[in-house]
Amino acid sequence: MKGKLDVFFDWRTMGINRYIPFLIAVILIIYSYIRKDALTHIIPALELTFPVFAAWWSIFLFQDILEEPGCETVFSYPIKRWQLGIARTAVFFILYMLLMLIMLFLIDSICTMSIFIPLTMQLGAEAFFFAGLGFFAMAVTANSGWSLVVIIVYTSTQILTRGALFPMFNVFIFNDRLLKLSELWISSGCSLLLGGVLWIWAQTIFSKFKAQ
Amino acid sequence: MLEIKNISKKYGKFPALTDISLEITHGMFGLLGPNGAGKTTFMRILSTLISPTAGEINMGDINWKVPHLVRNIIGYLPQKFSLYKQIKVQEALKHIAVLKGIDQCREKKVFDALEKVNLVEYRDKKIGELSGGMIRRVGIAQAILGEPRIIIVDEPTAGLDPEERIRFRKLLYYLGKKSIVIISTHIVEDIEATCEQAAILYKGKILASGDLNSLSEIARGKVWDISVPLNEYYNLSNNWNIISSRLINDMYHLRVISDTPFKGAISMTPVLEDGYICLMESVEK
Repeated sequence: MKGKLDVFFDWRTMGINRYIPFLIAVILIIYSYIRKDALTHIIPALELTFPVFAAWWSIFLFQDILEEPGCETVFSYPIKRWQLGIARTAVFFILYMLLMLIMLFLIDSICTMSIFIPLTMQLGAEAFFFAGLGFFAMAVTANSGWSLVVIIVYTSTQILTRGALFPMFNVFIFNDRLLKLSELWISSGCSLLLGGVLWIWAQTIFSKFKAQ
Repeated sequence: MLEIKNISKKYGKFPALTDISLEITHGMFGLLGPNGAGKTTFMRILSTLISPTAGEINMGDINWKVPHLVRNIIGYLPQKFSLYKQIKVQEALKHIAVLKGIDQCREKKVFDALEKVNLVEYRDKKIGELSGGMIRRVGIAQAILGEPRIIIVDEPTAGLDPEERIRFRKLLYYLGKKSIVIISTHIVEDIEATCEQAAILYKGKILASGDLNSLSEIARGKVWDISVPLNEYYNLSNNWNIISSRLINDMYHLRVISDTPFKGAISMTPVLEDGYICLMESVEK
């Protein structure tokens, strides 16, 4: 995409970090191939890993403009904050969704059951939440290290307590079987709602961000 | 002309800037002051990064209350600059040109900026691979890209070696021929070497402003040159306000600020540094 949003440029500013979600997708495909007959293992592995890494690009996308010395320079250019913030995050979330679709398509062709549609809905909604959480953590901390800590603490506490620590803010379903779409509406809707709040809140903070 | 009227900035109850008023015409303008004087706050207000608590800034019909209009006419280099370390110099500048809204002759404008800062041969190097001085030059290249009407440079020579410092001053002086260039620094030499006009900022207030001669005149009749033997130098240095000293043939030649003349001292023509030190001493007393 050309114009003030240049995805290819933003992609390269992330350095080696840009490849991590691909690596995760490849590992999950390989794992699914090895355990192709055990959907009870594949579904939790996918749920507890892939959506979480939706935060990765949201975090490292802002490393240059929130964390580096002189990052304030970008804010002296005539570009609107929403373009620098929510628009760029959204573009990379869409790319992450494409990666998810490719991954699920490949896993679907490996597995004995059709997982594509229910897992697209489940993981997509959860990934939306995590992309928003990454953006929010970066807008608040302006530090990629602390943002990763936020993601790790949220994920690990939710997994260890099976979502009991903050049930209101839990997005994991912890299912080991495929759920019907009718069973996913509520939990996915909640993930999208929580994610939406985080995206808007993050953009509000980012719009007011002043480098120290 | 850039008109700054009664600008104040408070962080909570702390007044970072108080009632700053200046008129800056074309050329180089220096903002001189010790660390913590409020220079960076002032530069960030000029760059639209923060808003003043009170006051107004105008340039023609452009008012700083409409930041997106201001951003089309300014170039800003902060004290520390290290953006896009993973990206090659030329590509980063091309991207910045897009962000700045430069649509026409973008390639040429980027090349011109690279040429001005003497970075053409490094254009295909990643910014992260450059030395501190070169990164500073990338910083000034992004600031001058698109030939903005106002160039704002915060502590331009901080961290540069003497050779780079001289090169940088020349470049700023050259830029001042076409635009208003505002530099803030605590290094008097930076201002002396480049600016026609300056203001002295202390604890958020303008103590004096005007051309360099008028600022130097503050120390008129208070600058003395005296020669002392080597063995007396260290005793005297505790009591006298020595600005500079040179050792020539076992004698120290001292430049001293004093309200009263010394025995054997010669009155000297004051320079900006003398005026600055006199002013600082008078407010600190």
